[in-house]
Amino acid sequence: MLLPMVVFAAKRLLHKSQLIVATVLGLIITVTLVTAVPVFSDGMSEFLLQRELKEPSVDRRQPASSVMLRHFSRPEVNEPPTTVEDFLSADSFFAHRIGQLTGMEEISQVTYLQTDVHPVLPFEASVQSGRRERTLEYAWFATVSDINEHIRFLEGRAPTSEVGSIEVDGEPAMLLEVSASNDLLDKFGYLVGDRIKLIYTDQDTEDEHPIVFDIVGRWVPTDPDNRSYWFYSPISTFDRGGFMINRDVYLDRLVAAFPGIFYEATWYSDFDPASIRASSYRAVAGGLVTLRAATNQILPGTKLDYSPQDVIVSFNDKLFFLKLLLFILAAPVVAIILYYVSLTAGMVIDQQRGEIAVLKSRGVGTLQIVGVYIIEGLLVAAIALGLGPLLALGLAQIIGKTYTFLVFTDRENLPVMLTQQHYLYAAGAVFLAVMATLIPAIGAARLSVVEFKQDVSRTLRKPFYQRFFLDVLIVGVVIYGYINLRERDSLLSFGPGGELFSDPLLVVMPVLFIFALALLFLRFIPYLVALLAAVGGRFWGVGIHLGLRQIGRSPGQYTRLVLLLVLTFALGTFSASMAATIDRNISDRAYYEVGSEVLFEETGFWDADNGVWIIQPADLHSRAVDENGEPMLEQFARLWSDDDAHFIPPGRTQAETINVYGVDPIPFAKTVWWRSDFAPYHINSMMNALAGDERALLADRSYFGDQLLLRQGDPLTVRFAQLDIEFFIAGWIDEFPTHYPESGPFVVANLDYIHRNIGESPWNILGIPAEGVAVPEIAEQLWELRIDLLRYNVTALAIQDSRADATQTGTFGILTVGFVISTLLTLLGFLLYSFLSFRRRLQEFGVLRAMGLSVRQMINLFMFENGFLIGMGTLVGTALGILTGNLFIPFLQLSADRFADTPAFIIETAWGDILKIYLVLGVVLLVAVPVSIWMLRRIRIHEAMKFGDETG
Amino acid sequence: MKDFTSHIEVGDSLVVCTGLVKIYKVADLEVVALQGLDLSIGRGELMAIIGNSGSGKSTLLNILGGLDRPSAGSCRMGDLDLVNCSESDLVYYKRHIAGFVWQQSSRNLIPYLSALENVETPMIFSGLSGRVRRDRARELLETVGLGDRMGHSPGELSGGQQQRVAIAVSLANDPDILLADEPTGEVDTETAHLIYDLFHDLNRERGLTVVVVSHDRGIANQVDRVVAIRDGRTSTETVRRIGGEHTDEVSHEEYVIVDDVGRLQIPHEHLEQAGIAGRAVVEYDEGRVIIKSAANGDEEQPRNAPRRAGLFGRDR
Repeated sequence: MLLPMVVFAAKRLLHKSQLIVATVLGLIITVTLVTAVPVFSDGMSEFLLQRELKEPSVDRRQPASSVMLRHFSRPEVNEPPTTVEDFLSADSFFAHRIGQLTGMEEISQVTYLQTDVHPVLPFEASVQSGRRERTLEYAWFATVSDINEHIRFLEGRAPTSEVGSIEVDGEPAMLLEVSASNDLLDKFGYLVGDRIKLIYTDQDTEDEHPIVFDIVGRWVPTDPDNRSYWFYSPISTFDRGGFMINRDVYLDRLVAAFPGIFYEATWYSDFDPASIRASSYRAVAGGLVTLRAATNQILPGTKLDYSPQDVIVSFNDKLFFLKLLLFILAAPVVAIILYYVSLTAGMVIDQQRGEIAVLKSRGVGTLQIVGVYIIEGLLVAAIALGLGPLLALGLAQIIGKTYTFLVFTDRENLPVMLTQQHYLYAAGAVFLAVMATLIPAIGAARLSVVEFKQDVSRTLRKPFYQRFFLDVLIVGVVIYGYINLRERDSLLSFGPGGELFSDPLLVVMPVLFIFALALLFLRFIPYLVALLAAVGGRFWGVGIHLGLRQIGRSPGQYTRLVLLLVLTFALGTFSASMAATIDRNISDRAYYEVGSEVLFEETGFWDADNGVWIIQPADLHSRAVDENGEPMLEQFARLWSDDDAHFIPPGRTQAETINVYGVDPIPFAKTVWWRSDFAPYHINSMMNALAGDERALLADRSYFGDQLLLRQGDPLTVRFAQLDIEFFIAGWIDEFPTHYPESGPFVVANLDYIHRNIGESPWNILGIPAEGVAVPEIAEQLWELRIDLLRYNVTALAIQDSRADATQTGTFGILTVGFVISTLLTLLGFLLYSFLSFRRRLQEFGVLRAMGLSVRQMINLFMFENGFLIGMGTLVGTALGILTGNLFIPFLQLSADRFADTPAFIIETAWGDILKIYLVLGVVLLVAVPVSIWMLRRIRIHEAMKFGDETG
Repeated sequence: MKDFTSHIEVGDSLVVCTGLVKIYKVADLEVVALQGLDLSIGRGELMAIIGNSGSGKSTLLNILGGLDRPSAGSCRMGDLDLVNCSESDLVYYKRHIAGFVWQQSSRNLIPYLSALENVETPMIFSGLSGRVRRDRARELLETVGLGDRMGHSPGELSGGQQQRVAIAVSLANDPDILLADEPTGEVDTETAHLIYDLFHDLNRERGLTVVVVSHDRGIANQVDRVVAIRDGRTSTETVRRIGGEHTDEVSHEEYVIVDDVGRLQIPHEHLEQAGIAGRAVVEYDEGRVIIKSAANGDEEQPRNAPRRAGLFGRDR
């Protein structure tokens, strides 16, 4: 029975293709989006992890992806030295099994053994005389695996494993062959062919044992920069005294003869960073933990010195946070999509009720019908599961290329791939989506034909959330959350690493707020419609009158759609505004920190004899020109500062430290990055005031005005080092680019005036590069002009950096993608609704036409209905989004970073993006309207009547 | 396999409804669609139920078809009590005992399936194997005269053909009784005849019990018995006789139904002719019961004691 049912379900699906497409699309999109989140965050993590693993470390030579184990014999004096057997059993593990244990791919493995450092001297020299002569050198024997593949002999050959015997002071001693690095031989002044002896002192017996060796080879490393092999620098380590012998000589002869000579054993493995994947790093970390725990048991005295564990652990925290954030961001979108899926499924099923009734009247049980729907759901789910994850790969790349909200940039592709886990997410999403389609199906399957007819009259009943006041309840929760957020104001600490949204409440509350108000709004629609109908219905012609009546009479049908629209647009507007605000403030902050497009930090030459600075004149910057002779700096201005000037407030004796900024008013006004809220006046009028009187000064309003109660025009004396200079307050200023309130009060004055009084001292240059000129080129020119440029700071780069940040990219990516998807789906849902409501009401239209309504009037009716709903949904949604933005976005600044208040946080409403949204809406309507009109024109009355009767 | 009806012989009552009551609740309004209806249908009968719209005939058919349950009374189909049976029995009933043909073909047929697939669908859900299903569906379509239209979808068939497919569908699971709700409502007279001929054939050849619901009194010519329903109760019954004593003519005899408790409905025209309104006088006169206007009765002194209609009671 199952197979024919599957065939039956498939036939149904094929037949309803045009309707089912909407649901399938919803399902595919759900799966795609839900899967894209982990795919993106894994890909992004992969990218970050690889970057961290590959990035050369500042404080150590070994790459982050390497593992280094070091063993030292006899950590305590009274312990026996490490035996060859112990070493070999440990070696078999450390040299071969780490890759297997951690799941990393080994690039290279090096085992290094060395003796402790002992004195060496020429064979002929006597020990006693050597010690006395203080010419004693210290050296050790070492053996490194595979060394011959990494060195080149300049002279001589590789040592053999032959061990001879020779008499030293009448005692027999070993005679070995060694090679040494070129630098070592140069340093020691030895030559190939020299015979040297090393004096080994047994720690227990204090007996001295000379070991004689012949230098048979002189080598240089062929790949000294290969950090996978040369884990100790060949330059700084082996040239200090490491004489290379063969491993068997070391183990079988040296250690066999003198057990105490065993000193260090090091196992070094470098692994392919690419084998530490975001998907598998947990296993790697687990393996490393096991290794660390086992090390000392395998060979006491062994320590795991380096491993990628630290990188992985810190990465794990970040990854967790990233994923959590992205899921929180994606959740409302997923909710909207599921709602859409349920809605369209419901609409489709409404159309099939007649069919369900047919089946039921033929003795098909409720469960069998639900079964057919489940089979259909599974068929569709299979499509979604097949396509969704593949699309998710692409979507993740799109998310990764998001620059800011609705703006994409060309970035390197993320290393994304699908794992089993991603398919689990996909399966979860499919499950949710299929459940969303089944809920209306179960409802419809339960009803018999007769009940179905009665059910139609029940649409007037309020939805459950209204009956139980759930919407009001959620509003209550949101108000509580809002108050909570407000009170935490000062308590909020920054997230790990100062990321945005360290507090999930910041993201959850606004979304909840939107849902709550949207639901609440639905309560008022009927009254709104009634009001409209009462006020204008009779003036606006039959079409509109009927439209309002239809809407007012059957609120159940369209409220869900309006809710979808309101939610989508509110979330979209809110997201856009949030993104715009964050973006704007990131950019503002960067500009504020630099002061303009670029800041050149410059100095001069301190003429100590005369006690003056010799500084190239600032005008010289205009001589930085390109090959065409055009100036490379469009604008530039000096900015001088002294953060240790003093000022004695009136009526006090204690001097206060203040910051003084010196500028050249006219060029400064043209160069500086300025925002109108920095001062109560326009920048130009302030600079004019400075230019008008050299003693004029702009003072920090909050300190000089509000705190000290000084007034405009009051004189003000500032002490620079020993010199007092007279100023007067020409105006107030609140914020000044490059100045942070944390460093105290500040004033802005004429730089020429200051310098004339206290002498010149170095300044910085703010600049705006000419179109298409890169800052490094300018710097090059400035250096050529002999300007003492120390470094420069480019605003655009800082902004770019912060935008490339994983969290931010992910945030804006998810918001953008989520918004685009939910907008398209909503509109699709609306089209579907129009289409279906059109079909459902064919009879009504037929009757209307039979009653003599013109096609024009019917088009009016239809257009008005849909236009009214779309208009209401979008407008209310937009308004709600803006309201939410204004209420909740201010909280974001608290968590942003420590200079959160400077410059002041400005709430942006993303009108540009909202306009784009409306544009998309307009385009869709432009397509939908002619289609609808075409359908209306085609109605033939008798057909409409008949058809309507049949679907009734 | 359940068995509720197989023991009932031809001529015995297949369906017995007594005192059927159906009350619909729409919003806060109660509508009494059936108010104590009595009806009995014999196995192998070809009968019709007629009534004006709102008389309750569709409600009755819904109940007989197992689509709706009565509010009170009893309705037995063989051993199955449609009032109290379990949901699964009801599904079994719809599947194996009753076949249904609606007026609108959209209720009968699934538009995207071919005629053959439509006939097969009920069998899929009752679990018949593929081969049996297909053979039976072919046979049924041939029975209704559509052997050459099996692969056509309903949209490609005329209204009459659609109705015939619908009949084939309703017969798919070999029901005991075929219920048809205005099966000729949307087809022309000629096609209507064709459909009734089909009912006759099925009735005669297969012994299928056929119940047709219609608002058309003319249907009396097509069936053996017509039960008229009015205000949720059976009012009159017309039995067709072919031949009579001397001729080949078809004659109809109309009967008024007297229920268990002795109530009857008197046709309106008779009431008007006799001027009866409100109260009436009922007399027994040598094997007849005479009903007279109460106004007339007041003048003449009746031979027997007159009784008021309302107290008529059991002593008839």
